[in-house]
Amino acid sequence: MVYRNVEDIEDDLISLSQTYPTISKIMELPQKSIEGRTIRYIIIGKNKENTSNKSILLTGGIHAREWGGSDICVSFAADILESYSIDKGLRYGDKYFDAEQIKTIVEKLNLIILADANPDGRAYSQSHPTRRMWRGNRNLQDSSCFGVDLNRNFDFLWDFKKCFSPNADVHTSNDPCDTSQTYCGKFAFSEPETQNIKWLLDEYDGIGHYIDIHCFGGSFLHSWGVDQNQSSNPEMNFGNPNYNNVRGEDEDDLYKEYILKEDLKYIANLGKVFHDSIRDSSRKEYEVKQGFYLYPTSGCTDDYSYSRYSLNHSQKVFGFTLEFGKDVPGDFQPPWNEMEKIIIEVSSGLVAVSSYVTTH
Amino acid sequence: MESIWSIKLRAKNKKELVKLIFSKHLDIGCSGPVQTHDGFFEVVAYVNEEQKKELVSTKSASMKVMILEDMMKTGVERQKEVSKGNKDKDSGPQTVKGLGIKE
Repeated sequence: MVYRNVEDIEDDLISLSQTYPTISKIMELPQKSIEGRTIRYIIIGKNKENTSNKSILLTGGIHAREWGGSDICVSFAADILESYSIDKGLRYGDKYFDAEQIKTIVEKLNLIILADANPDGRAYSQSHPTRRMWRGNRNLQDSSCFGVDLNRNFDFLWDFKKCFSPNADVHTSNDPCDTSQTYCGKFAFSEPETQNIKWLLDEYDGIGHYIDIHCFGGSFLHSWGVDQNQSSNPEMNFGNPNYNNVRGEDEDDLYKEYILKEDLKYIANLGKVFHDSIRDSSRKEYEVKQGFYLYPTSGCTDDYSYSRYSLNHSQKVFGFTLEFGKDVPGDFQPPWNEMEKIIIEVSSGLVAVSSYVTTH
Repeated sequence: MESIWSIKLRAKNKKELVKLIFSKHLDIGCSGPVQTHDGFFEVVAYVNEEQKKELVSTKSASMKVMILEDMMKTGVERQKEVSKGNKDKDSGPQTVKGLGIKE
């Protein structure tokens, strides 16, 4: 096996939906990519027609060069579908899930999997050795530079110049030609690829968890990515413009982002489930930590999905960014034999989280 | 097309390192400065030829700059591990299997 190209991902998802039609369905997203590619997702679950059924959303390949995320999604989908259909358990290294756990996942949850959220970027990154470090989509900007960093284009403190302290080291740029490859786009949700993910969150009001798969480093990041967390002052929150000049600074007491204590407890429990499953599978110790400790972020998937609840969307969505690959060679694209080990360990974490969600 | 290099930057002072990351518009991927067991801060950046030269010239007692890899060279290897063509069209529909063991 090797890394899948864009057509392979598409074909594999279609093939899975044809092989397991009673418990899966392939669907087209409303927006085509900038280069006109149709973008599809697969939904797995006995209640796949019910958009309010408890659901987990998974996305891979938002960052073009992080090839393995899409392969993780396809392999995970194939494992769940096959195990359920033959009534067998699933083994990932030393971690075993019995048939009853898989059955419960498929019968209680919907798994909504957008394996390749940025197909234009992937196609470009995989097309030539010198292009393999490409991160964004392939939208041509007025300045004749290409690409928006899709994980800076979500509507959460998107206007970082206005919303953050001038001293905050927000890893985002408003320059389309910035060599950091973190251009946030002309406006929030300016890109069809991010509009598709918003559409999924709007359409499936049963989504309570969202895991966005990235690489690398071996961590499971949770909200908030804006600033340090605090649970004592609800007024000190991302929606309060009074804090626009102080948000995002490291090691200060002027601003910390509000999060409910019970949410933090739930996140810690879920993170431990993910961590322990990977450790049991591969002996790798993924770190569960707040996104802010990577660097302050704006416009990212995890905080956007979690923030929706505060903005009067009915369902709370716990958003996570999974950075796969701990202590492996090859940075963004490990050699395929290493990538296979990563797929196994990460799948173990994903099944464990899915199983946990069925009972919580 | 020019090469991309991976370069490790290492400093005792985190602020100095962050300042360099922003002033040179460095691509640091999905990671930030990490503190090592000896108290230093490190980050790996992915830079073009011009940025590489600039960074090497900033080398000082307080900022170590280590060139790790010519990403173009390893890119050729990785490229060999990308599926070519369309496997379904080439050899007909195949059963898709995950890497988990069903037992």
